[in-house]
Amino acid sequence: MKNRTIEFLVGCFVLFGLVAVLYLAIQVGSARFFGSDSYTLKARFSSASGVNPGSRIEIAGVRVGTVKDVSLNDNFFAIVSLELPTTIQLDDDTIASVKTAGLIGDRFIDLSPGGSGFPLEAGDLIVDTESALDIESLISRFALGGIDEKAK
Amino acid sequence: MFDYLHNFLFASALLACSVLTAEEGQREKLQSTIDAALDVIYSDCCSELTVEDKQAIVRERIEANYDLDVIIRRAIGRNWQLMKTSEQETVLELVKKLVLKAYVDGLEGKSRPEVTLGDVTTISDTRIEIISTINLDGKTYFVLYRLGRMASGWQIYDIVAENISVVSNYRQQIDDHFRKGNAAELIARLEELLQKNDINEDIHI
Repeated sequence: MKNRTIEFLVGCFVLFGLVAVLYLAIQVGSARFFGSDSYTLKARFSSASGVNPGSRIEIAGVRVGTVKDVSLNDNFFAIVSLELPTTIQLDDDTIASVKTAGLIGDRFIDLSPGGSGFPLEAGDLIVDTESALDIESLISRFALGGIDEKAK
Repeated sequence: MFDYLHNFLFASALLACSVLTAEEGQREKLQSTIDAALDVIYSDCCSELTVEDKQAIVRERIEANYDLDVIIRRAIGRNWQLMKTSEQETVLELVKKLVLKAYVDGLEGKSRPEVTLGDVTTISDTRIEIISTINLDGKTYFVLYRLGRMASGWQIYDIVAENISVVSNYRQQIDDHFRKGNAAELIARLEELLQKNDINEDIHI
């Protein structure tokens, strides 16, 4: 009888451990048990450098969603999947920009909601985008000059 | 059956060609509009005109092909709804004047920029992009024109200069303004900017 109690307690402990690990995995991966409270939009960038799955999406500095996936299309544009809550409805003149937190911080997607009155549906593509400013190429352009500049 | 299929394919090909031509036509239309606007500042015909007259003719030539309201409305974004009809009209008019003043003042006294348009990139049925290179005073700049097919035809809805969107830049400034101010204050600020002699030094809203 005593052995059965010990076995039961060990079983409970193992089960609790498994639940804790599962909870941790869900929290770290920003996953959800049920996905019905969110929808996905796509955004097309000429460069999505530094943006990865899990990168945050902000509107007016407030985190509203997460980047789900980053891939390359046939025309060599980066297609970023944006997961947003259904409570946030965006119009088709929304602009998506790749921004950097501070000078050397993480890259994130900043959304500037428009006001056209034509809402974006799940799966729609945002084509009005701004890629991140490439500091290295800006510095080299100022330091070395553009290759297209005419010789003076 | 074969005739039907043949006619269908022929009609599809014709439609595809006409869409392609319509999009390619936008490149010529944009180039001619840019050239016509630059002619006002650089050609001999208009050299005797006052700056105000030049602004008026540039506006006339641009508005003959494009609706400036589209790009301004887009920059104002959702703040448009926060303004009364009379305020909306005033803001549209002031922004147009401001843009034309900045354009004419910014180019006066400089050598004529060389604008070369690249290929038309089709984004979707209703969106195209045209990349351009601008050579000004020995420096090269890249400017992307974004055009959308609207009820009023193909319109420029954004201009991206060196990866910075004009609409995004001004929308951010207008958003910031409306977080702490109102339409009347925006109108006052725009009027103040219009009074400045060198508008290109400070065009922040």
